[in-house]
Amino acid sequence: MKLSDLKIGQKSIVQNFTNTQMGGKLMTMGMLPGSLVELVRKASAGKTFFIKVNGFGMAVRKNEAANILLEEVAN
Amino acid sequence: MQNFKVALIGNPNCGKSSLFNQLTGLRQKVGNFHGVTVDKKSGIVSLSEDIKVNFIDFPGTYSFYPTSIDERIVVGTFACPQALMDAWEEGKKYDGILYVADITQLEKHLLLFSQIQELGIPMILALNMVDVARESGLEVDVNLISKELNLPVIQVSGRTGEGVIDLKKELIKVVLGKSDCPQSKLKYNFSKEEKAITHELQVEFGLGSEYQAWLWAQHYAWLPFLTAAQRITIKTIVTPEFDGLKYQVRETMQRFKKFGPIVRQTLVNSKTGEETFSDKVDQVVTHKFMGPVIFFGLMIIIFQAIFSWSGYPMDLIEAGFGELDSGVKTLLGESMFRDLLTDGILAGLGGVLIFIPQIAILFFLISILEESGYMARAVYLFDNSMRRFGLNGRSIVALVSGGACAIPAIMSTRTISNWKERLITIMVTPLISCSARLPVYAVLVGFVVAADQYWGVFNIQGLVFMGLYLLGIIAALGAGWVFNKILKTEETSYLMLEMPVYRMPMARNVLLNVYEKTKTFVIEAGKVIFVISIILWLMASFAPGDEMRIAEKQATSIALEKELDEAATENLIAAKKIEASYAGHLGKFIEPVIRPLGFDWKIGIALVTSFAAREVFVGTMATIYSIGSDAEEISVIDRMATEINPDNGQLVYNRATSLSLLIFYVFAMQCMSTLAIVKRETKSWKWALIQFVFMTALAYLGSLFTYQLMS
Repeated sequence: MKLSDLKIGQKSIVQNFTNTQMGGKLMTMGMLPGSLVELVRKASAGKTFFIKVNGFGMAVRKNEAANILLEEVAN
Repeated sequence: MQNFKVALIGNPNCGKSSLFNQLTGLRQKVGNFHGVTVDKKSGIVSLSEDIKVNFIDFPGTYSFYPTSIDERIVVGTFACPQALMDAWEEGKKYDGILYVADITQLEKHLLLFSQIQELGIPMILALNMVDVARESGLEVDVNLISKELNLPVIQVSGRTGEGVIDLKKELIKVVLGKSDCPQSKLKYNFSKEEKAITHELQVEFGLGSEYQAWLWAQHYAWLPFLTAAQRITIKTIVTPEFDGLKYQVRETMQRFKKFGPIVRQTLVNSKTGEETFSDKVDQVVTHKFMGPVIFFGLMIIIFQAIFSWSGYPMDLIEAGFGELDSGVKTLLGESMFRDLLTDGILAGLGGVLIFIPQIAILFFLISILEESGYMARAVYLFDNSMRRFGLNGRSIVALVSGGACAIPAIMSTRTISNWKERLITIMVTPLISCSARLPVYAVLVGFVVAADQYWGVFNIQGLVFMGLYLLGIIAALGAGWVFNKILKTEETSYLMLEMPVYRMPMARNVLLNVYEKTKTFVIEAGKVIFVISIILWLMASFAPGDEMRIAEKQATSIALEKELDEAATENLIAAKKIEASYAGHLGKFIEPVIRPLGFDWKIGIALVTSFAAREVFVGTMATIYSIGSDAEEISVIDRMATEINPDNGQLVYNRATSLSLLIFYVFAMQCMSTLAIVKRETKSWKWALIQFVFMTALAYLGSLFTYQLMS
């Protein structure tokens, strides 16, 4: 599943990135395969995500989140 | 006495600036990094009786794979071999690196660290925010981490100053070479194909460090110290299949795998999983409905503060310049030079310095918002709305600052990595009504509506003021939308922004920031206004042929006829003189063009002179209407209120003309200093010129529409 599919409050583990360029930038900011992510809240009509990566706050756009692959979360 | 040079490097939000301020205090200078307009803060400090260190604060950087101009500086500097650096960068090579990492985010802050450590420059690791870490239950085994990473490690707090003395002692050892510079234990293991490239580059250019060769391969397209010939050679060595991104990912993964276990081994966290203070604040501040409400509330408070706190100091500055002006006038006898000094230079400088209170207050409040971590939340809240207008969430910082002055606002756009978004932000920011428009608004608004008119509880003048500000904001967003449609780019736009933990702003950091930004404004704007005010003074003081003398004669005879007193005679002479001057000729020359906007040649002169800076309008009006250029605003208003159009016998400043003029000032690019800054930031006159043309066109059309509709 993708980070953009996560529901608010759900957590999962990063598996991979589908866009290498974006992945490269996220990795330099501390989000790597294996990192724990949580979707905390959304803003502006659900287009911007407030997430936590290993407990640290970060803002990403929905289309950026769609490039982040996560382990499946049971609903 | 020995002098050394030490670079301060670290990730964004690692508290590097606090530590830099702690180390250098007021001994800071702001300059530029070699060849680019990124601010370079430095400060020389005596570490002991015979050791002086020049600390250079590098922009916060995540890794050697930069995504913005600011981030390029670190790799752009250190990918250069130390021997070459002497020749390339003025000054000398670095004797050491002080790497700053936040203990509470140690793991991710070690990425850049492990890259820099490969370059073999003596280094020291400062684990910052030890006070915050202790409070949140984090303990570091300093000896263990020092052993594992193979370099001196000191725990410090940039906020409280804890550990700074130990840090200085250790720094002395590092720069003197007494602390040996052992090999990095975190070296990158190059793959076979990578090794082939680095080996060839090392042989070709005689590079000692394999990793340095690697950086050349990755970044040769823009590394500032390479020559064109070198770039071509590197290009032939680095095969076309070179997949920089793939290699970057490989390197990053490998590095985290190497230092990750070390961090887990040396950090002990006794409290985890608690909801922090920041989480609680964010529940309200970044709430999808409450967040924007709080943001606009804060903006209203900021602008209220700017206007209510700045009145008194502005009066003081004005009075001070008045004193200085009359002092110089009595001290020096009547001469051309004296007039140039007082009416040209002093008047121009006064026009710049008068804005210091407003700008200082704005920066004070904005740096509090930035220091506390709030600005990042504003970016999160408005990123999507900004994107519709071709802007980036980060543009909100520039647009807010633009309310005080476009110059520092434009300088703040450097954090926007996408060139198109950055350019659009630069182009539209001057449309936000800055503080220099205020005096013009204040003079003219009275001709549109009377001061005592109310609409319910609202003062109508206040509403008109608000309307003008809103119009500026709408114009900025609209222009952004248009630019977004016109400009094309292949570059991807990013948000991906860290939301730092909320922190109490530190007085020292805030005040130093205010001091520096204000100084930059005074110097940057002052230089331009100094030159322009001399030119304008020349234009207003000289006339073709002997028109000046004739005008004076005429005025004297009229004065005699009307039996005017001495002061009134002088004012009449001044008015006639400016009419005859080059400025007057220019005003008359452009009159046919501005006639449809409801402006006469006198307003034309004011438009020309206020091209240097908008606030010059009021002073020029005072001169033209012969009430003496040091008149109070209120007397200018009184005089303008009685001005009659000789053609039709009606008031010149009727509602249509005044509103038209107001609209003109909302849109027009009447600021030389901003144009100069735009040229500097976009590295060409092209964009400054485009900005000038589109804003002037917008002003002309807006005024034309207003005047034709109203009259």
